[in-house]
Amino acid sequence: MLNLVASTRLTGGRLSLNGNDLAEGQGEDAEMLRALYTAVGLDYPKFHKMDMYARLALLASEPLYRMLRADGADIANAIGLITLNRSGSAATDVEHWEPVRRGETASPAVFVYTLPNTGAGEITIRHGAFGSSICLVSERPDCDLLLTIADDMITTQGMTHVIVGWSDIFAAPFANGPSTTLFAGFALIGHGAGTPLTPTGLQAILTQH
Amino acid sequence: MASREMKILLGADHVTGPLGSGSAAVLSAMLNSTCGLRPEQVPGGAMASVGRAFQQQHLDRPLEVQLLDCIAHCRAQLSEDVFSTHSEHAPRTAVILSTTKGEIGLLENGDVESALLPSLAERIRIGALLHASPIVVSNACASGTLAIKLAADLIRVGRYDHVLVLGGDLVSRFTLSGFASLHALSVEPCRPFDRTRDGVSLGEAVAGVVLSNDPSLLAEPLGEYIAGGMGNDANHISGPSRTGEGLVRAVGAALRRSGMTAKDIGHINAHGTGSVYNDRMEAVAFGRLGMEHVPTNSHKGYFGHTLGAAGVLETILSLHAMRHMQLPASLGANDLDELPPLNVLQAIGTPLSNTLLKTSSGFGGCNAAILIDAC
Repeated sequence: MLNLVASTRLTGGRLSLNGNDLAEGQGEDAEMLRALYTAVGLDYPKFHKMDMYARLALLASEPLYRMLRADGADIANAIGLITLNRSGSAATDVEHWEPVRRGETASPAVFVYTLPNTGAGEITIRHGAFGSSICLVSERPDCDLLLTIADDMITTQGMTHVIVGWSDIFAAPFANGPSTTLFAGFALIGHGAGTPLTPTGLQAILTQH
Repeated sequence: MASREMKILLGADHVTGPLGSGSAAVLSAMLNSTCGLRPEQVPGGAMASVGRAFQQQHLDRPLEVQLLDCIAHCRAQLSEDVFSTHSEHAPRTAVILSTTKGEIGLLENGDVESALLPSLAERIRIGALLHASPIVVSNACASGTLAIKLAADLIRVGRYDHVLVLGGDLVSRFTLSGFASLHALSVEPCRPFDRTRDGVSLGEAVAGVVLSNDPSLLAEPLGEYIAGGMGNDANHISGPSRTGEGLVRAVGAALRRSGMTAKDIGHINAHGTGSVYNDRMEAVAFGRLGMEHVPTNSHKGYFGHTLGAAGVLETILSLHAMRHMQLPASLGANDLDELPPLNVLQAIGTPLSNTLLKTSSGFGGCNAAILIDAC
């Protein structure tokens, strides 16, 4: 039986933990994420070298890792991570491609973020998390599947908890699709203490309402 | 229902890449030392060796076309088409798609929305008459090996009976320009594990293999899945760990779950990209794992680094090679790097046992390892 230990959401410039606002940031995406970085008291200079997507995933998951650290959890070995998104690295892909399209030189610092799993990479680096992780890309979270994967990480792969997080950023200027969106929702789940978690409950955390 | 005794078999495979189409034909070309890499000018003006397979077809959506063709080839080898939306088994099946950049050419042409991976997955669902969109695994260059592991895990826990794992990526101006900006491309065909290796060669390919708990579905199984593992370097976003920590953890987890030790491994098909740091990281990791003696190769000297396809493509070809007791030489490894020493195959070799260890590592510091007994 999987239980929800805690959850975070980052939407509309607010970062919340278990439904309670932790911090608020104003302005455009970059400005807002920087304000949240300051508001939650992060001191991690690498943050400013990351692309927006990695910053979003790192910020939204931060309160859950802090909670785990405070509880003495074995973050190095026993915390699984499933990261999810729809747009992959699309916004950064466009940033990489624009100068190349114009015949200019690509930026290596931008290119290394043109993958959907960079958020997971930055989270595992920041927290020294060596355990199981996977990055899935889908139109919307398949929460029944996600709970199956998380349960298997705990049951057979030696994880005590799994963090499941959706974070998505989509830059619209070159697209016909939806306008710019920025949203993240993360759930910390485990077999121990917590409230029973159903796919519907997970869906509510991982999707923008 | 899931049980400990459940066997998960692999088969009904197909590959298409720079060395042609069909797993047996591609392996045969490799055993004849055929290199599918050719020099071309990349964005920015430099020359690099590249493994082309699809671009000359001038298709708007080359990856989609190739993936659908690959699915058809895999399904044609099954005793029953369980993946069709018309099959009563369809709800017990899934397709897992491993890719890093998908149909990235669409983004180059300004259609960002259609270039998104869920959009590609949905077109594959429609084009192949699947009952659900493929599950997309995108863990950089570890994606393919991780996708096979995920497929086996989902069968083991009883969620599905049959999973088709697909891998695919294109050589695009997008990726060439990026790797060129990192000064990561080799002018000559890449030389994994060679002392003079100086970078990767990018290649494009699609590959597909079916995993199933029903032996009657696969006329000629390629292998039996044993166990898998994953691990993070937690070190650097684009550079491998100096200690090989994530890879050691991935292989260690697979060994623990299988009850095997280093002595049981018959062949290692390594990631072996030909970059200075990746290959050294792997040598350190396999050394730490006590696997220096195991016949090891990289396939990338034949068709380049096929990114999200690599793990699927190279697993399939390695299993065919083990079945024929002929492991391809690690093409380009002419003057082996000395430290730490590995048993890198410089000529066609034979496996020590029928157990394959396939590993992959990628940007973001992710590593995946799977153990499969060749049939």
